[in-house]
Amino acid sequence: MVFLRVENISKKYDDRFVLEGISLDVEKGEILAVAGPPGSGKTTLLKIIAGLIKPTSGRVYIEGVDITDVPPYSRGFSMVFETPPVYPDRSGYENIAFPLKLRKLPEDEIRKRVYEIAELLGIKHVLNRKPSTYSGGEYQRVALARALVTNPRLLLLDEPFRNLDAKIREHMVVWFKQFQAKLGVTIVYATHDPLEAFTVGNRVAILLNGRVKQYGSPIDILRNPVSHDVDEFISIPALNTFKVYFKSSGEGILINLNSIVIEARVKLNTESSEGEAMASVRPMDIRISKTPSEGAIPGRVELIQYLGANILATVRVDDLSIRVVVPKDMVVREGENIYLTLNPSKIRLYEVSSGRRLDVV
Amino acid sequence: MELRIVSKALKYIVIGVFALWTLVPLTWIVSLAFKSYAEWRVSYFVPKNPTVDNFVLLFKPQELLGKYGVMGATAIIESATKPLLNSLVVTVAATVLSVFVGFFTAYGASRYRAPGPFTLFFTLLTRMLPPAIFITPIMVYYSNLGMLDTYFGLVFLYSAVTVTYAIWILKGFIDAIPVEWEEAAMLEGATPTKVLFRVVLPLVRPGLVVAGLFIFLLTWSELLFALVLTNINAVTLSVHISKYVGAVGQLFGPQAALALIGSIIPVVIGYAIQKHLVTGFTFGMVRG
Amino acid sequence: MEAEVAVDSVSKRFGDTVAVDGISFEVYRGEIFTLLGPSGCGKTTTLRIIAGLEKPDTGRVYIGGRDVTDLPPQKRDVCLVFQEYAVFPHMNVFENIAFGLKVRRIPSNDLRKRVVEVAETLGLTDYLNSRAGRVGLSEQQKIALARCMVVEPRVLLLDEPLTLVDAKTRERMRRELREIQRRIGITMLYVTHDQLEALMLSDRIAVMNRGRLVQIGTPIEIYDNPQSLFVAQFIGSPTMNFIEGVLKKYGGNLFLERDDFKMPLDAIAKYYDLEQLVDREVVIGFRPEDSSIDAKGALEGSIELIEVVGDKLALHIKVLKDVVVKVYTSIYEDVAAGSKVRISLNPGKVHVFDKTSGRKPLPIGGEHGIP
Repeated sequence: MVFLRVENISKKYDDRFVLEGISLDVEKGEILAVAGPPGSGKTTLLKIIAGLIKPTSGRVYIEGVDITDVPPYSRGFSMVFETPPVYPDRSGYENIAFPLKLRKLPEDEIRKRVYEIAELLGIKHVLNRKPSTYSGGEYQRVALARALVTNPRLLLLDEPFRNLDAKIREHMVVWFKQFQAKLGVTIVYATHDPLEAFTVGNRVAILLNGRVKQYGSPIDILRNPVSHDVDEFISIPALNTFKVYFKSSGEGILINLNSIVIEARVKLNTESSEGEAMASVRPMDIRISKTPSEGAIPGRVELIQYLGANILATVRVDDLSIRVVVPKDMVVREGENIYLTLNPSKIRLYEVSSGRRLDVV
Repeated sequence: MELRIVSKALKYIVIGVFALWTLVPLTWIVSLAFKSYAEWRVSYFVPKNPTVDNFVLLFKPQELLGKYGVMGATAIIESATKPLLNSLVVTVAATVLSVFVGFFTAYGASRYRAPGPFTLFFTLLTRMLPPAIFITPIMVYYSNLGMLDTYFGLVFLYSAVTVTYAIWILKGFIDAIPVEWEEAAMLEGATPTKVLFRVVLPLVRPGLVVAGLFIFLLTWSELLFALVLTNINAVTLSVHISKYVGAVGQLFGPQAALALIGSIIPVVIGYAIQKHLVTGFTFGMVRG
Repeated sequence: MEAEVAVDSVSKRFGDTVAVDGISFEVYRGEIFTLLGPSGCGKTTTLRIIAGLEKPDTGRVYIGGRDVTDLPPQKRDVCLVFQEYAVFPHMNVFENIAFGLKVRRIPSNDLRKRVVEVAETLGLTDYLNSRAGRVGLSEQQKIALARCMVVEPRVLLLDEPLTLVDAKTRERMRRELREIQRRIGITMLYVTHDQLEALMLSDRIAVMNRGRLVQIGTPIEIYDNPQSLFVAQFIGSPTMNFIEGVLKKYGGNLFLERDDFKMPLDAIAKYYDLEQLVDREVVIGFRPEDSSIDAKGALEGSIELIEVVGDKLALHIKVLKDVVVKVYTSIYEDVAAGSKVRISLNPGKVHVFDKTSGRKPLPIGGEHGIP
């Protein structure tokens, strides 16, 4: 049975819809990652699931039971916010024990559970210390311990690693995924970073402007975005989008970009056999070469940025700025003239007005 | 380089002047308290014949005649015990009431929006009017209500007038607590009431202490209201001190003695609770 | 090239904690120089010392050739962009940018011209009349930048200006910042904990840890040739793979020995003087992109786990009984868990470190990048 079901949830503030028609299913033990830019409604959605905010319409079910009207203190969920509750005037032990004390559990039971969870999270050594002495990672793990010590049915996380150093965040995210696999708690994890969502989530919901635009496994979404705004959101470095003219021909279509014609073997998901469209290509799906060739687009290198394993080049083609990931051993200099070749199987077409995906894989 | 030395010297001089300004009257009172009648009007600090007579006199007013001759003859004074007690009771009660009401109001002010643009501003009004303006109508009301010369009357007025401080001090402390902590507590199983008492209240304990101490000090030394609104039963310390006046002048010694006792009590209380003033709050996230 | 900023043996402690421990470096005119390190490494304190907001316990600071150590911030010809931007929310954008000039009593015609010019350079022209508190975060950052640029300082100091911004906007702003700097040519001293940001933005990077300077170099130098274990594991995302063992010599050949496995290191011995490490505990490191799945590879293992990391697939390959090596492929690949693979390493891209000291042995005929 589906563990958590969010059915057609909408939330309106004044005359603006912060969330509209959100429907999601989460299986028991699964991590659902909700990814969206700031202001897309992630926190509102989490708070509605938690019961802290009442939806304007829609229902929330746990294991088939409608809990939409159940108050937050009776739902048995836990939430870790961006500024999680770790009270500064108390020790780690007291912080983690707090929710158990609220439930009036006996002292020895509390002791047992706090030590258990501290062991699991590797923070036994901070139990006697106050939060001002913690490192960022320890702080977040204490917050996590506090959320988990009550054995919640559902754990909600709102950008829990946002305030950590980049490197530490990387490690925490990977660690967290492994940790959850051991623990088996069902999780809804909100983040503004699409790559973090793909790393953490078993399934990912892309939330844009209050709507779920795509919902599936990370690989499905990465291989096959359904609309332009999803494609744009999940691409880091930023996606390249051009206005093109397409025309059906034989087994595929011809894409006309700046008078260069590219042939792509795709089927179209539209009635028209030709017309204007937006074509999107990721920076890693474009090749640079120093010599011209058939179908290669000439351009000039504007900016070089080092990524470590490779290089991000911003190339100027007429009035467009195109980003290309270049292998490190290719020495490219700013101001140099080069030629771009797009990988035709990695070009995606979108309708200009709606952003709807036009080509079918 | 020289500018630095000069500016440092200047700083010390200014501080020195202010220190003197504050300490001299205090020291004078201490010295007065231990001076006998003959030495009250002298200009030097250390009494040649220090005596505790003034202190004794506070609690055994019958000795007045004996010690202070003509002056003592026309002063009608009761023992200082009751006024001391009254002050303690009234001040503590007013402080507790003020902080109590202030806490709830501050919570509302911090977490919720009040109707109308100026609601919060009105809480400041009591501090903006000079007390002398409303003391007369208050006295009339009290008289009609039979609240003159009662504990209740004083406590009520004192709380009403100081609750502003409690609200504004506590609001600052409550504002510093992220709302998310209360939301988290609700998920942790706390009903809104529990959130208020088990989460917010303990976290603002230093604020309660600060507000409490501040209001205590204000109320403890208050004179005008007490003077007007009390007579015999609810006479407070400040009023009692003002009563040490004989036919030909003030009884400086006993006044200073009582003032000294009255000054020490809040200091002792403040010292005893100072550890609660430490918050340990670093509300920014620790990164790293 | 001239040094626009020079720091000489600067130290600073706060109470018992040593925040900065004897740091020296130079920043050349027109370059973006980044202080990179984990929280608490002393980078922000160093920046503040250069800005004049903190006094160093020892050492001197030079800006434009002048010793400014005893000068207050406003006399140093620098400008600091704070993490929180410190934009005045109730003034409009124009007034915000003009603030520094107003304080200096610049006449209004001149002031207007400069503000409009800088606004145009940063793309803020359309926002000049908007309330500064209402514009988006990246515009706010530009306002903070503009406020500094309009004063035309010698050096622009930036204290983690992109930390509060979301991932997608951050990526875009990194490009824009570098573009802007290239266009106006101002010397920038940048502080961050994000190594990718440092690699993308900087002309040179100074890696710091616990108050000390650990390595200085260009992004390529730091990435391709980390001189210590700390730099090796701190720089590069995904993180470098490490294998620990003892360096042994058998019959004139060098091996990495771990349990019962011997990995021949002769190919790598061409690049480093490994003789000094014989019989010592060492750590070899290689970046995921410098290893490949190769039927003739030296390391044999099986794919234990495949997971999505960002927009790539991470293959966790278990080699040598209990060592997991990560190799990354595109998400379009179809790989099966459990399959046996062999990994080969690019010998020129394998790094060797002494486990105890964390340091790299001297390269054959090469130079260290240690400051």
